[in-house]
Amino acid sequence: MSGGARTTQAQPIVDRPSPFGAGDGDGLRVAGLDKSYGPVAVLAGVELHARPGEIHAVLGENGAGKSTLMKVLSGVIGADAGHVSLDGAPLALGSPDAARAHGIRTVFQELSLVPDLSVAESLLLERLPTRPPGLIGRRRLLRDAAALLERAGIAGVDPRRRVRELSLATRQQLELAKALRTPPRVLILDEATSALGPAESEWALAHARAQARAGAVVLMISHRIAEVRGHADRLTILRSGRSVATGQPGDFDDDGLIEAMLGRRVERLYPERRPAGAQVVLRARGLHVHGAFGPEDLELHAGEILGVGGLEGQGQRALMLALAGAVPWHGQLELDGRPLHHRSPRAAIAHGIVLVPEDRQAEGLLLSHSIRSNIALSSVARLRGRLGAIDRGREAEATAREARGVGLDAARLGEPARNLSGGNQQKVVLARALMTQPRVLLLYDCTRGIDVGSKADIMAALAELTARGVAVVHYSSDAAELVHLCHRVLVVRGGRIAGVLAGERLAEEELLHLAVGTRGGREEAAA
Amino acid sequence: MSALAASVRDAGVSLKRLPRGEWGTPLLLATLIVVDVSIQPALLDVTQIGLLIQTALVAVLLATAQTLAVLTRGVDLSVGSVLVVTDVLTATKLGGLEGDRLALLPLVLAAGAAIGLLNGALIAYGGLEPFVATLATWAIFDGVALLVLPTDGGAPPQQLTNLAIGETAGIPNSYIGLALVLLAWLALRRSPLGVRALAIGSDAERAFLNGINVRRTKLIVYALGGFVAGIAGVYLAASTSTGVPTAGDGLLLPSLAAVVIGGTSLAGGRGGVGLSVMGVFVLVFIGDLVAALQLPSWVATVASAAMLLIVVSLRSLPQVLARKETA
Repeated sequence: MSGGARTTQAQPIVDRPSPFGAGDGDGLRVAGLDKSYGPVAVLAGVELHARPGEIHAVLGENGAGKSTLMKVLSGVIGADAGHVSLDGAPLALGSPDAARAHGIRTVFQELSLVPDLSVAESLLLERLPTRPPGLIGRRRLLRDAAALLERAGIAGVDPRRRVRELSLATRQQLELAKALRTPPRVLILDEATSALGPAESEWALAHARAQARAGAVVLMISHRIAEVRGHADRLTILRSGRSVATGQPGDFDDDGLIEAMLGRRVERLYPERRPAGAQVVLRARGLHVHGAFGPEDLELHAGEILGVGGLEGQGQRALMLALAGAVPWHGQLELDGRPLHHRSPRAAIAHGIVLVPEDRQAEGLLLSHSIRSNIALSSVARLRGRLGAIDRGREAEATAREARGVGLDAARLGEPARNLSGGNQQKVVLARALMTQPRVLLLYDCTRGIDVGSKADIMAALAELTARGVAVVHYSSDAAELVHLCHRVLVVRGGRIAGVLAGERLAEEELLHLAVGTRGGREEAAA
Repeated sequence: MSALAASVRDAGVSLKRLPRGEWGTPLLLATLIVVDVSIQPALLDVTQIGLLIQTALVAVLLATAQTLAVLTRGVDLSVGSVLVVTDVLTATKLGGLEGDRLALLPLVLAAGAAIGLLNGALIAYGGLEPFVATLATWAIFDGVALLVLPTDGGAPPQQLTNLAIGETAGIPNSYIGLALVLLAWLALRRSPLGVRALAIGSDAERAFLNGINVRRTKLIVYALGGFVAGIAGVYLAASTSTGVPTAGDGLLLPSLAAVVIGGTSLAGGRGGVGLSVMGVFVLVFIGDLVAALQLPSWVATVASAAMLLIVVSLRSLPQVLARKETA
């Protein structure tokens, strides 16, 4: 299950004076920062000033240079030119260790916890507690880790467990706890809430606020505009490696923010909803995944986008995987009126049911292979020419068509998938799914942590699909997206469908009420 | 079957965190021991076991060196050539006609470490794949050993021989040697170096984000492996009282087989020397059984390989089953 660890309190108790003075310094200054990879300039004269005591958001489209900037500040990569200073003193950021020595702590988007180590070892890896003659005291290790978890307000994680066994949400929480081991002068949150549900996000942002109050500079990269509005004191917008705007969130309206990020107007993020068809494509009766979901009934119509929402880890994953044939399920499924007994993703794909997974790198992409072969991967059987070899011409043609459909640059299909930003990688995974010409598309939180531009492209691609009669089941941890994109939304709580929202009742507030259970048991609104 | 049952239970949803297959290897080893002892009860004797360990100790040391490389997601094909270099140096430079020069022993051990250091430098700083780097050093140092001692011969110091095959307070020294290997591993596993090595094997990029000096750690680990393989050469020369420049032939594959049978992941980050030592003894007992049953020696080779396949298949089975259960 993908639920996060329990957080014992929303307000962390980090109410202590900062050893670095309470917000009277100059803060973090970045001046003229350049970084190029070959001929590609990723950062071109970035300027940024974040004061102590403030939460400073860094916004930008994919590939705008946000992550590169954070990596430079964390000592992970070196800049080609430019200066970084903290409270007036120039910083040498030659390695992650050097950045840490300056008090710069980073919550890495890709997470720095090592999968095969225990939670305790992973949390304390930067500086393992030793005792003479230089060995790690096992009890001390566990005690230090437990103390760190408690201080961060994370309950229910055994420090002896392997990191690999934990959900993405829990790992992301641990990543934050790890950064709080010593009081940061600069706390960098790189998409630190991307895998977290609402409660855990609040918990993380409360930590950020507490650190700012203690005098730290907090840099926050987020794609959630609401989160930036709600929590950032100031913001800087990057576009194509340059800082293009800075100010307070109140200085911009949403359209203005998006325009500054994209350098162009986006007509609208969420496309017009077309009415769904009447024909039932997929019908479930008593669908049940042992210990995780159901039994429940549901119907999916042609051209419909059916949302699946609720707090994280309520059984949505089991529902989606069952529909995709990836976990054993019980009950009855019908596809176009015919019984369906798929027991593997392969069988599901053969029936036109395709899942787009959440963790695009782990589950979806072959990073060293070309974008083209990644898109073609699930459809190679169809692309066979004479003698059974892949027809390269047809492959190029078909992949280019799908790439354009999701807003990928068709000229770059020969490059390795590694070169793409997160949002574009997700588009590749989507294009691959679309290339199999699905009847039913299952999207598992596929817009998590991707930028507004990519999101708009994906939304547009979905609208195009539904116009062709494809039915979509869309699980998302983003309530706004569910409400604006979907025809109906199933809210799942404790493995059951707590309610179905549609029409007028399809609103974020209603969704939240159903998700946390403050509004009655089963409600069927215009189901 | 019991190994399978244990592994399957282990793969369940329970939070108990014994790595998969952890019980499989000990159970396999125990079964082999029980069968072997029931066929030849004379084996249950302090001296007999001491001899068994003595013959196994070279393989144990090489498997240890191999495990260190594998844990960092590498491989060391040169363990056998390090062994022959220190073997012939022990036979020619420490002993010989002019008498023993035991004081030079640290230099011989340093030679092993130096070859490991070269491996580490090629891999960590030269950017070579471990397979390629150690393939080259394997051949080079096999040649160096033949240069030092073209044919079998030489005379290792008698004191070393006494140490290798002797007893201390009634206990064969081979027991002590084995115990020292295991203790050294436990210490390494509990040292920051050991944790860093595992972290690099598990995910080098993430290890780097934690401020770990990935290159230096790899360098040290390969140097350590060379040092351990060098000890194996000294021990081999001492316990056989002669130098054999081709003694390393055929020792590489058993070192890898022991690592795999033991359960250390070739993908790095998971496993340990304790497991590999069990893997060595699985191979030793298979050989011993085949000899006891007076079967031709090819049976031992085939049985070892079959055991490798069976153990690895059983280990992956719960993962195959668990994949279906992921919810």
